[in-house]
Amino acid sequence: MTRSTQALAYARPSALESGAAGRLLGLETSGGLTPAGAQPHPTFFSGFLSSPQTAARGLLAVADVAAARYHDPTPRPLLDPVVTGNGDRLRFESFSGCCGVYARLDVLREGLDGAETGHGTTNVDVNNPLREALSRMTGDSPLHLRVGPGELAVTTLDGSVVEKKVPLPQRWLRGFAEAQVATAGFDLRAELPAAEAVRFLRSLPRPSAGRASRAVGWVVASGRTLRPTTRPAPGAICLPGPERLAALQRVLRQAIALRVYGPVATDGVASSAAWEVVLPGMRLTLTLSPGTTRGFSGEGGVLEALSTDEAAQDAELVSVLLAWEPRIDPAELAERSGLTVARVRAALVRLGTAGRVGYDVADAAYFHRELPYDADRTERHNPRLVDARGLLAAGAVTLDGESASVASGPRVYRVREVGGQLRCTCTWWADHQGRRGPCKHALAVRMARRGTAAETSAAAGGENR
Amino acid sequence: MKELLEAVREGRADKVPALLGPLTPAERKELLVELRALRAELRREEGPWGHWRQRGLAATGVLVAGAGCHTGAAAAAAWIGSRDLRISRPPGSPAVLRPLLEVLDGKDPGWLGDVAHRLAARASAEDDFPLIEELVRRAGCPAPATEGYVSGWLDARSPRSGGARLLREDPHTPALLPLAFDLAVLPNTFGWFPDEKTPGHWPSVLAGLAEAGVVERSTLVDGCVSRLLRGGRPSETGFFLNVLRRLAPTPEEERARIPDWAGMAADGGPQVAAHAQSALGRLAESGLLPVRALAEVTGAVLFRTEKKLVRTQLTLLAKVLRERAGDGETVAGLLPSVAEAFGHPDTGVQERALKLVARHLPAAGEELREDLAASAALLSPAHRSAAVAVFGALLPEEETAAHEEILPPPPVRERLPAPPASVAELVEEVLVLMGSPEEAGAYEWVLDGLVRLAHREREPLEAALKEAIPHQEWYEHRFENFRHVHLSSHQITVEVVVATLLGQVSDHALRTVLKRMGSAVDCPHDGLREITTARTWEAARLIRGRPVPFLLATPTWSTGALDAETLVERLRKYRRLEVEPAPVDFAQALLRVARGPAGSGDGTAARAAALGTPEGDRLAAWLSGGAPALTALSPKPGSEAGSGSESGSGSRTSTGTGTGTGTGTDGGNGGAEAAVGGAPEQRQAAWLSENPLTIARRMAHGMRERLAPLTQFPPAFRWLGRPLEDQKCDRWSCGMWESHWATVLPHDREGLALWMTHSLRTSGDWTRGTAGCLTALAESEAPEGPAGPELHRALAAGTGAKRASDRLAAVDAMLTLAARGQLDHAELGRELAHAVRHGSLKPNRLADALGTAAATGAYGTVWAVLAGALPPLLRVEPLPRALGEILAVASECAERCAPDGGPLPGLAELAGRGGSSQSAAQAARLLKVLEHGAGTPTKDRSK
Repeated sequence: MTRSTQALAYARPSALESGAAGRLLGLETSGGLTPAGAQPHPTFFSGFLSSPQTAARGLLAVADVAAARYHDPTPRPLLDPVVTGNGDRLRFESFSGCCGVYARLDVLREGLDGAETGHGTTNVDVNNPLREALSRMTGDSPLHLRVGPGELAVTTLDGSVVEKKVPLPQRWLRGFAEAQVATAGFDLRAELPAAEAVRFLRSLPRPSAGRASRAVGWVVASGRTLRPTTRPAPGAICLPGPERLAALQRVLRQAIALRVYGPVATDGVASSAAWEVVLPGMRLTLTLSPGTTRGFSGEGGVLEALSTDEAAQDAELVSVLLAWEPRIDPAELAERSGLTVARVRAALVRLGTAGRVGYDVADAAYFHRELPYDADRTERHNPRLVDARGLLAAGAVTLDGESASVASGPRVYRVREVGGQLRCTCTWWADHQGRRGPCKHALAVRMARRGTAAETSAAAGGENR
Repeated sequence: MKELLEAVREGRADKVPALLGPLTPAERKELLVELRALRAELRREEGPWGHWRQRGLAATGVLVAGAGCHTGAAAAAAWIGSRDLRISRPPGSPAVLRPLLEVLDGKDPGWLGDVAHRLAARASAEDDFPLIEELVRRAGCPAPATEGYVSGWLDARSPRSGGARLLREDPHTPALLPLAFDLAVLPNTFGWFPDEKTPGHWPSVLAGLAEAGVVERSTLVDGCVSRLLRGGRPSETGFFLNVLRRLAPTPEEERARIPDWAGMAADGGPQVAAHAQSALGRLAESGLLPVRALAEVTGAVLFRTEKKLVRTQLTLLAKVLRERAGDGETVAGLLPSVAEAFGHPDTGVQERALKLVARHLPAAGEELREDLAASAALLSPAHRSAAVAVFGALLPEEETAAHEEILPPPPVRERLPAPPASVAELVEEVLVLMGSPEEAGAYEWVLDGLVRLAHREREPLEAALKEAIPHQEWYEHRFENFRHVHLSSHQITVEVVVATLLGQVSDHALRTVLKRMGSAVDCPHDGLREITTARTWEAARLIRGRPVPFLLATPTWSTGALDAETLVERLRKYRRLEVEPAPVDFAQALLRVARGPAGSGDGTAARAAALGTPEGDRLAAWLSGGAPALTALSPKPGSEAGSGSESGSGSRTSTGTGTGTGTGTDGGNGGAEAAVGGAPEQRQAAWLSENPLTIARRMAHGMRERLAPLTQFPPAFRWLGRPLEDQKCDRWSCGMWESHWATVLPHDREGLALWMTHSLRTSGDWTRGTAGCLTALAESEAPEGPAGPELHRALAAGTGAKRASDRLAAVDAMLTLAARGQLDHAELGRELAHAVRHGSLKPNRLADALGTAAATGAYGTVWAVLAGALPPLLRVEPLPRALGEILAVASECAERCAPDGGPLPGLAELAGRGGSSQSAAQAARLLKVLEHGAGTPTKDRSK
């Protein structure tokens, strides 16, 4: 597995302190982008939280997911959560080590007591003492939240004292970025009031020893609640590895409602879904991959868009126009960039796979944030894309009108287009029938059709570490 | 140097130090180059290095020699820590450690310390502990604080091997021991000796260290508390709880950690929460816990579902409130948190909370009363009258929304997709089918597609399959010896046909297999498999010998049903093309067409007869009441039938002869059906009351029926015509449900249910997914009106399945049947009660399944089932264990749907027993609901 290492350096550990002036939750930051460029310790917020205990529990839930590996619960240090200041809200995001659960806590304007936030994205330090302090936080006496060193910076920032070095597998990066793109086609499928939400979430199995089952369950909206079922009935929402929703237990008592988002047509096969708990002034959303052992990284839903360079230049253009908007309006961007709305959307998908925008299902809109990792070209190194470029470069693709053949090893695969989707005679297609993105043969054919220059692609493939 | 390399190659690491000693720094540098080359050679695993043992020995030599050559600490640590040089033995094992320390002898202590700390930072630190420890000792530096090193250190100090003494004497203990509380994974040895009296009991050892003053007591207490607060696996939190109990924190220590206990009581696992709760309880009783903190903890604890925790908390509050009864501030602070329990899922808890609030309400102010009354709206209707008595007019009006029964939408059967248009389309689907567990609909489509295209485009199809299917040798082997290989259900797939097209199946095989079919059927599951297998092999033989344009039996619908009109049309085409129908194909086609009752020859039957072919005549007869009886589909007299008769024989008789058992015996003779299907005593009664002539006529008819399948159907089907000896086979493969089975007999779900009941009762032990048959059968073709008794019996069996997912399938099936209007609630209730009485259904599983069904909004349906099940259940002595849970579900349903109907016999007696048992309490609750009266209208809504 291709992996690199991410080094995080914090000025000091994040901590919850109680003083004469009340409680202060100081979240330390490390590295990140702001409108003013890259900064070692950006500051995004300093103000009071409207519901301190809820926020504390939401943060714990995000930290839980960051530390989890549901298919194989060997503890392994992975990355700290990421925080984005969008001007009117703070978003805390994390991605599980198993690449199957994406968590985001959106602290909205009401949750921030109306205060404004800065703009940018950075890592926040989460450590054991902080987790303990958040766990023992009771009562709703005022809590001051500080994200970043703030004015203290001058006196104490004489060198970083907390250093974390964590492995950064490519598939984790890809999954993190892709998990949100996957939700862009989701619709609201069910909404449960608090009492039903609590009852339903409590009825789910808990992970045993941190491990989630491989069971794929389904739920169907039924009156004010969700009816569990064993089969994908029409309108059903997939719930694979239901134990993976365990992090939501943290905020059950504060829950106002539970909303479930899923793809419009489930087609009877396992799919991902987003589970959003509405909290006072904030929202906690968990997005689950279609299987406990299936990370988002392998879903390949965006590979077709990436197989050509059409959207790449548009993406460059659009990215220049972004300024950490909480909600990106494609129509407005289209106007400003001179592109069509469709091209702006395609560009946003592309930016999403590079971790440069996220998708908020509750708002049904992209938001600007730049993952503070070297994730820029990750998706270009997707194994299937690399293989497809290799096939193309080796001249393995023969186009023949509607159908095409791809020679790979001793075998020849037939690729055929039906209703816009490419079908193939390889094992990947037989196993997934296009539900996890196109196979390398289909990708190679797509590239050949669009006339992507094989030379440049091969050069890009050669850069792969 | 040559000698040294020779020794390394031979795997003699022990010789290395002596040979390395005299080398100069320059020579060592040169040697390192050679060693790197050797290391690369080892990595290639070629020649003698192909064997791991040989390679491992040489790698050790390379490791030792290289460690002595490196001059930089970083390079040395990387070399010693590298994974490829520790193939069989880590540097910590004695055989490596000794020579390794020897070559490092005489190095600068600072350098050694550097190497030690670098090794400790690697993932292999735990394995390398003995080496690092020795290096640290030689260097005289502080011990590394990495997780791996601490784990290794703790392992080496395991109390079993005298570790208690070692720990006391180790100068590193004060620094390293506190780090144990931060380990992500605890050493295994922590849990080895759970008995406090054994010397290996870690908690005692740790407490001993605190007593001896080796480590600060507060460090240990803080460590435990932090760890418990952070949560984790029960085994880990259990260990730290034991340490904490052994340390026995003093009241001052407990008082100093109130927020910690509060956090644990709110979020910890049950054990941790109970411990924290008891600590807080002690503080509260001695007045050391502020009212505000107690109120916050109470709110969090009462939100939990563990009844024990909730009750303990309510008891504590009762005590505190009693002691400070006059203190208005305490009452005002605590009562709102007590009211949190009004919304608790357990009505017993609600009752206790209500009583507690009622007792102290007089001391509450006006505003507080109003708030409490508002919370009281969350109380179950069972406590409504009590709440009215407490709050009077303050209580909000009861919501009187009419109950809406929510059931899933009735299933819609789907048409099978049109046959493949091109070879490419078919080949893709063949590949999909071969790569996945076979699903009946896809199988039918592909089989028909292969037959069609083999007839129409033989050569392109063969070429495309040859290109697309890898490993052809595999087929050769498999199908030459096909009879030696057990053809389990998954393997009978279209692969046979594909292999035939690829020329991999011998003519001999194709000739002989079909002949042998049906001879060895001894259970219905075998029989069902045999039919599909025969069909597949027949298709293969047709393709080889006389290709037909299409198959007759391909279903019209996803349920497996074939429209009679479609079959007539297919037969007509066959006649026109002068194709002779293949026997197995036609027999299967008939089974997929709904049989008509006697004399019901409608237009379709007439059109079939008009074809003038033997098959047309058989179809006409099939449609108009002349279908042969399929005896195997009926229960064997006296075996299973009437299992529920003790509880409700009266109504059983009525359903037994009604449309319900219309399984295979729709042959038009209701009397014959009763003779086969009824309970033994009923059967006898029927014999006695009829006149001899009728009996003789029926016997003759029975003989004809039994003979009919033998003469008209191919061998693979003949088992259907004889009563089956063994319907409860215990073979592993028969305990599973296969989706093909529903499509073999799409109109005979009663028979299929009969054959699955035993599998359902034993499911979950070594089978999974058996209950899938229930959903399939609930959605299958069925006449109007309630389903038959066998399906209800199977449903009852599925409700008691071991696995929750199987029980969920039973719930699905129950709700589907209810939505289709095919559920006989009373019948299911009786079957459930019967199964509980006979021990084949665990009451707690029944409560779980019915609770799940009710919670989806089907309260009325579940109530109707329970109304049938409860009277016999209440008569069981001794009372079933989980009766209370079942009654709780019943009460919940009754509260929601306000059923009409009289009192349940036996309920008042149970409720009258009083006492604190759950069943008596819930019986009283149910009684109250039923007496309180029905009247709220119930609307039906299918959603």
